[in-house]
Amino acid sequence: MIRFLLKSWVYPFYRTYAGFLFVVFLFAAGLLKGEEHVAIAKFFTSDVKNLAYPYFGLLLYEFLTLHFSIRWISDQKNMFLWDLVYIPGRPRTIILGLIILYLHIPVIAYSLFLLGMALVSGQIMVSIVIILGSIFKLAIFTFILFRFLLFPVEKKYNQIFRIALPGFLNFPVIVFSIRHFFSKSFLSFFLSKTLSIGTLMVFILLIQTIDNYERFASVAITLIFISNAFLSYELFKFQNIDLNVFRNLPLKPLIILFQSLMIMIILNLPEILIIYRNFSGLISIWDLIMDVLNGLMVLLFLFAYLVFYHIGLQQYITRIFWGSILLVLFLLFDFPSYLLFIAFSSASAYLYMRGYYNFETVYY
Amino acid sequence: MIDFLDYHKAYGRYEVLSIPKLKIPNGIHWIKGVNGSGKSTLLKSIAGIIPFNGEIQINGESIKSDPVKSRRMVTYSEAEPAYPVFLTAADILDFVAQTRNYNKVKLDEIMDYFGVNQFQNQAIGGFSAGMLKKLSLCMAFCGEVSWILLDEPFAFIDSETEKKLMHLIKKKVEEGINFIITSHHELEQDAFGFSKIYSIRETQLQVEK
Repeated sequence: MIRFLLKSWVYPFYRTYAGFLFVVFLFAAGLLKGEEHVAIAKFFTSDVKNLAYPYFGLLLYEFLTLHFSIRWISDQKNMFLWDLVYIPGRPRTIILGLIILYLHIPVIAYSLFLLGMALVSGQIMVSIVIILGSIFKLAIFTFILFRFLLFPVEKKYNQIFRIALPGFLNFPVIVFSIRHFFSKSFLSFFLSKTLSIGTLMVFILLIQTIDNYERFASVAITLIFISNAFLSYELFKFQNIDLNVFRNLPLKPLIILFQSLMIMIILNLPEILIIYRNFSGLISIWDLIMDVLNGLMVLLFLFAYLVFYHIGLQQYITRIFWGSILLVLFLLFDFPSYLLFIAFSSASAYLYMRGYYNFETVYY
Repeated sequence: MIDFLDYHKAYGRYEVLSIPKLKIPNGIHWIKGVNGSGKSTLLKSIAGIIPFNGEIQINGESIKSDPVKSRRMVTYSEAEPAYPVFLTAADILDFVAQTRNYNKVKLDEIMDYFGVNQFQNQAIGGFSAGMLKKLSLCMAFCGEVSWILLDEPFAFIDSETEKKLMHLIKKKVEEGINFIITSHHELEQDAFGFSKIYSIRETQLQVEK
């Protein structure tokens, strides 16, 4: 039974969010070093209050699993899963609990890591809170899932739930990210990425409630590529890459373009997967290429703009924000994306030729 | 017996069905109605898999106040079944048999009867509409229930399976199992010996015969 539920319920969850999990794994295993993980975990487990930070983050993931599960079992294709209610009380609770456990593997793994750190540091109270908190969360999620299996909800409520939940989940992230978006910390970058993915999910859910939503698909993509252009810019800052070095190399424009392109593609991977899952058949490879190029041009344009006007970063951010809103409005009214690409690339090329790309400025 | 009391079902502002008061006695019943009249909605409501306003009781057990007990008395076969493409018929039927505590030997007999055992280990993605329907029928006959709800059971299946299905329904009726069958096509009334025939017209379920 469990093997079947893994195949029909748990694995599809991991497949669906493969892009998101890949990015999380990339950050956890690639960008953060072992000692940094330990230092962060020590901070989290130094006080019960500090546990709120990881628990808030983990809760987002847990809500994601619940959101997925409710959508999954509501799907007509998976109606056989409703048969779980035929199973008598205790075995049914155990089975649903096990499903939640399997869905929460990353959460459990990190909680165990935190528990180990708390025990090593002799933080008994923190350890108890981690154990009790995990058991409590498991019980709550199992209960919610069972209630949903018993009482189907109206489709309109389900729609609201589908739209409201990611929005609700992302609201604190949005607030937090806005505060930290432009700081040079790794956390700000990570949260910004979560914001980007979360916003895309909300956007997709929202537009699906609108008739002929297909026309908005390209807007979703462009929005996301533009937001990732901002993130690429942040990544350059985060990595503290001395971009000025590129100017001294013979192939400097190509190298800059190549590196930017690679960063754009890697950064956009989870979003591309999400978009592909929701709009497959509506999006052509040409759309994707156009948007990667658009994002790239926006990135180069941002650097140039910063230098050209010799303005403060805050002022610059505000202008870019309103510029992006304007861009989205253009796209909503079916402004051809290749014209935008031409506009951006011409402006970027002109600014580059004039030597306005002084990347040192990004540090100020 | 299935009791309806002040039952209403609407999709958005569009009311599909309204049954102020009705008792469906034990036996075999045919619900007629044109496409989109609400036949499937009615069966899904009885099966407890969609929400509705009002009350439905199956053998005295309310779907709303005791969903587990009432759902255990019912199985349901969809009109146009669909399943995840990466699963096999054996996967799903084994799961259903386990949840309903149904004898493995009996399950094999049903699979054999409908010929599902021939393709039980193939991925569902490669199934035809008829194969999907056979799988759905197997699921409906899997379990010791008092009501079997068959939504357009004769759609997509070949004439040989049609005969087998009719024979099995009659056999189960003799064993005391009750049926609600929906169909927008004319069924042979004498062959089934329907206890009652209903039709859905303008959101109302009316007794025809």
